[in-house]
Amino acid sequence: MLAVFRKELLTYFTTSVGYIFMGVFLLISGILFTTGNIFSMNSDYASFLSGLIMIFLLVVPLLTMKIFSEEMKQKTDQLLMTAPQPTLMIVAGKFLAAVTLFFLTLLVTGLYPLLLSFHTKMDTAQILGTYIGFFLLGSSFISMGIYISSLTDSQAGAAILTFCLLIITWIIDFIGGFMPVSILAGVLFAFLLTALAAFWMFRATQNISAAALPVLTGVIIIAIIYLINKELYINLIGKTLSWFSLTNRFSSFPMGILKLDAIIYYLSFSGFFLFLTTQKIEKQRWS
Amino acid sequence: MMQFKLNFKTRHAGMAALTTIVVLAGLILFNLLFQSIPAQWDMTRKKLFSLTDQTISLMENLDQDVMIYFLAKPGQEPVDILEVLEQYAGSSSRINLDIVDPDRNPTLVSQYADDGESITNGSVIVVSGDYSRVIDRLDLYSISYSQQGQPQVLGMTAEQRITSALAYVTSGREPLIYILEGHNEFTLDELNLQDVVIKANFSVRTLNLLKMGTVPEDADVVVILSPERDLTENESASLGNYLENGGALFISRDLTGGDMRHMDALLERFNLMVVPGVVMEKDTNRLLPGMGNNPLFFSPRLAEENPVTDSLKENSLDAFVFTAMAVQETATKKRNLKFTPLLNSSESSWLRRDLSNSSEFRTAGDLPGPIAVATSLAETNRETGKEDGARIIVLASGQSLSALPGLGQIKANIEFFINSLNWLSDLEESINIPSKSLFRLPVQINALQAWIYAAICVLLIPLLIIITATVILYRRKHL
Repeated sequence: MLAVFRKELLTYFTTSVGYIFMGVFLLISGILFTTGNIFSMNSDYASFLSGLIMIFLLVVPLLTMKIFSEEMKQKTDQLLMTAPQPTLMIVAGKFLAAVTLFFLTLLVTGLYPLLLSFHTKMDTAQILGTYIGFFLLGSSFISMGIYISSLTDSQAGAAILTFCLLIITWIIDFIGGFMPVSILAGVLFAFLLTALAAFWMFRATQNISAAALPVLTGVIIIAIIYLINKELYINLIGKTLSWFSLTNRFSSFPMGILKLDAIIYYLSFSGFFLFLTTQKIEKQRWS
Repeated sequence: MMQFKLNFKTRHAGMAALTTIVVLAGLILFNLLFQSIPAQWDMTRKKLFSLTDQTISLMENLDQDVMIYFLAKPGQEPVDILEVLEQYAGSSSRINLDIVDPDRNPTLVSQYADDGESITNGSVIVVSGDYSRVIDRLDLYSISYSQQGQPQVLGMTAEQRITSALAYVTSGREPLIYILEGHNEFTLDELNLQDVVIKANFSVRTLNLLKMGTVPEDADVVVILSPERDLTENESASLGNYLENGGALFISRDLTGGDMRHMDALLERFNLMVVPGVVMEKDTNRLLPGMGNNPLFFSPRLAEENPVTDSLKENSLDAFVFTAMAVQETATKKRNLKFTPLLNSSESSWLRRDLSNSSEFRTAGDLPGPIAVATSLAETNRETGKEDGARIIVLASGQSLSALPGLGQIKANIEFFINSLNWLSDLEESINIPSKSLFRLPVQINALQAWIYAAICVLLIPLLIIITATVILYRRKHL
């Protein structure tokens, strides 16, 4: 893992990718900081940081688009598969390199609150908490971008798809507010999830029996929950979207609250997408 | 051979898909488990999202279930208030929180609304048994309005309001205080205390003894705020009878120079005596440099272990008084009246009785310190020793409750007043939680500094990155 990590990190600094990512991010954040805090004499730095996520969302595809798609295009992914390292370690090495570059970029923005602190009293702990949240959220975005990069050998395709999915994660919470809240809608939504799982299983195995397994399990669980407490289906769509929302969980960080469940969620989210990426790479071994 | 290959692929694909589903389900369960653990850290400097000791103490003693309804559309809840409410729900198993969409639950909401009124989105309803209290969303913040009528949020009063509502719905008690009028007294409004008193769960009415003749039976406390004219003999007698029947009186006095013989006579019935003059403090630790170390304006010492002053000590709040007179115990005293000085000047102070004397040093006619400027008096039962009779608090510097020039209203003085009402109404567990300020100091920066910082952030940093990139990429190209 360390060798992959070193090689990837070095690549960011010996090619234009790392500099473009840092340059664009720091230029836009610099403009927003000077207009939002310096010229408006506003000491609320945590709000500035939370606004910066939108910019980060725009530049994440720059960072992740080539991580696997470039390997696939140049056929060097064959080397990865034959490397004497578990696939998970290779994925983790690439992820950590991208996250390290992101961390270094965030470190540079640490200069902003330092400048403000010469002229007003800053909420140091609150700002630190917001940085922790930003870092975890950014790492989740990166893990998603890495997974998408493993799906295609087109860098542009990976970048566009990553951007679209990140935008969806951004507004998923907002969309949830407009979803139907009735019990029937909740039950139908649960069936839809079950159908999606079955479809995915069928697509992976091309086997009807394998696809029937999630259907059977799903229907039994849905029925049991309905019989025990059907009220749980009220607003199920909205609650599910809100629960999975990355940005919803971030909202407590700029307020100055560090929540253990939010930290665990971001780590799980990153872990799950790294796992999916590993599965995708592994698939090439036996398909 | 072909058959084997298909089975091999299907088995692997099936296993991979199943593993993914299991991992996803496992992670969701793992997260749900952590979600049920209310572990979080309040990183704000002013601890905006941490409950005060007063609230925690109240919740520890809850012996009945409380339901808190937060009226908000799902997904659109004001997050700051929601965080505070979740603190309540997480801190006591007796408290349950429910987010209610008022558009979908009009019946539930309407049963708590006053006749002809509606409850707005963002409001909080606290319910326990037959008692309920609605807290309007605007009351969860402290809001000031500019001259143009523009609202500005200065602080958050959510905890103050919710804890107060909790205390009310679980005790069902709202002590009634009567503010005496007819002698040019201050009103609570004039002292900006009306809202504070109501938030502390008191009901307020005015009392004109000349018209009513006697103190109403439902009075928990009678309050007299800096009267400029004396009581009549009848008023004094009525108040005396009220106190002898276990009543409670808060009285603040200022140096008026007028004849206050009936007021003094009332106090003397209970061993109390206000001595005219002004206290002059010389201990520089108790004076304010911002007031030019004016000896008439000082921070008094707080009584040890007393329900009226304990919270000031715990929160390191300094009370300030000015042009204070002295309160003393009379020479002849009844034994069952317990006199306790609450606020005292230091040993380096004195009471200047001759106001024509302008000396800055203690002279022969002055009373040596320490001088009590506020005292409490409790009548004890001769047989049981319990303090279940009359209760009086005298503050000999009435103007200290008002806003002071250059300093505004002194927080500790307000707390002293509320604590006094709590003690007088025998409601020492009552609540007085300060508003949590959301105000941020602006960045004090001049135009030159702003432009320098802008140049660093917008030009210098990106430029350094471009230069580094150019050098490295150029060198690699020409290796």
